[in-house]
Amino acid sequence: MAEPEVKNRKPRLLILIDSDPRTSPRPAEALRVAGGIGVWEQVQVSVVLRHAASWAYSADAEGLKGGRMFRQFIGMVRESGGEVYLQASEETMQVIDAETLMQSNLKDSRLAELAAGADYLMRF
Amino acid sequence: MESSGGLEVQTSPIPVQMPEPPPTGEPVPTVAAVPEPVVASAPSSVQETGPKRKLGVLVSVGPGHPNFEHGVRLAEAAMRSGMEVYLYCLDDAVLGIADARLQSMRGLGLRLFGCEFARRRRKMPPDELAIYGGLTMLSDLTAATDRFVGFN
Repeated sequence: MAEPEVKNRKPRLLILIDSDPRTSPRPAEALRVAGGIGVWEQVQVSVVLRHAASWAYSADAEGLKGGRMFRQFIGMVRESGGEVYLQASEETMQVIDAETLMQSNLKDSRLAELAAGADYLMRF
Repeated sequence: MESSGGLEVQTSPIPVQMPEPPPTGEPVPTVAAVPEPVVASAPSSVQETGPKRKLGVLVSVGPGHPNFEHGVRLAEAAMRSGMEVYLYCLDDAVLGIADARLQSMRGLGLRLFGCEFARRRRKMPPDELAIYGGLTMLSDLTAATDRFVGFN
C-alpha cells in the first residue's frame, strides 16, 4: 500500500450516502457525522446523496427516519465550507424542487473525480 | 492463551529465564574470554525510523454485522504490525464496545472511543469500557491519523 503523500491542506473526506431514509436511519446518521466532522473545519467534507438517499432532499423529508436532522446537517455541512451533492433517482426527481436539482446535481463522472481526489471515502 | 480469534493477552508475569550455572569442574569464563557480541543492524526496511504510524478506524454497525468484524480484525492486524490504532464506535457499534477482543486490545494499547450521543440514545449506562465523546473526537481522528478507514 502506497504511503499517503505529505500534504499541507486539510484532508478531504467524501461521504457517499445511498441507503434509503424511508426505511433506514443511516442517512440521517451519516449527515450528522458529516456535519459533526465538518463543523470543526479540520477536514474538508463533501456529501453525495445518491439515488434513494436523495429522498432526504424531498419536500416532506422531515417525515422520514431521523428527518429533522436532514435540514439541520445539510446546512451545517455547507456553512462549514463543504458541499452536499445530489444524484436523484427517477422517483426523487418528482419530489425535489427543480432549483435544488439544478444547483446540486452531480454526474457520475464528477463523482468519480471527487472519489479519486478524496483522502477518505465513507459509504453509508 | 488466546482470545477468540484475537490477540494473545498476557495475564501472568513474563517468565524470566535465568542463565544456567556452568557444569562443576569446568572453568568459569572470564569477561575477557567472552567476545563482545556484535550488534547487527537490522535492514533499513524493518528499522524503527520514527514515531509509530497512526490508523483511525470508524465502525458504525453493530456487533452482529460482518463489517463490525472487519473493523475489529483490521484493528487487530494493525496493532500486531506496530501501528497506533484509534477505533471510534459510532451508532450501533457502541453496542459492541464490551466485545472481549476490543477490551483485550485496549489493554494492549488500543485507543477505543464511543459516541456519547449513540450511547445515550440507546439508554446504555455510562461505563469505562471506552472514552465517550462527541464528533469532535472523530474529527480529530480523521485529521490527525495517517490513515482513516470506515466500516459502515
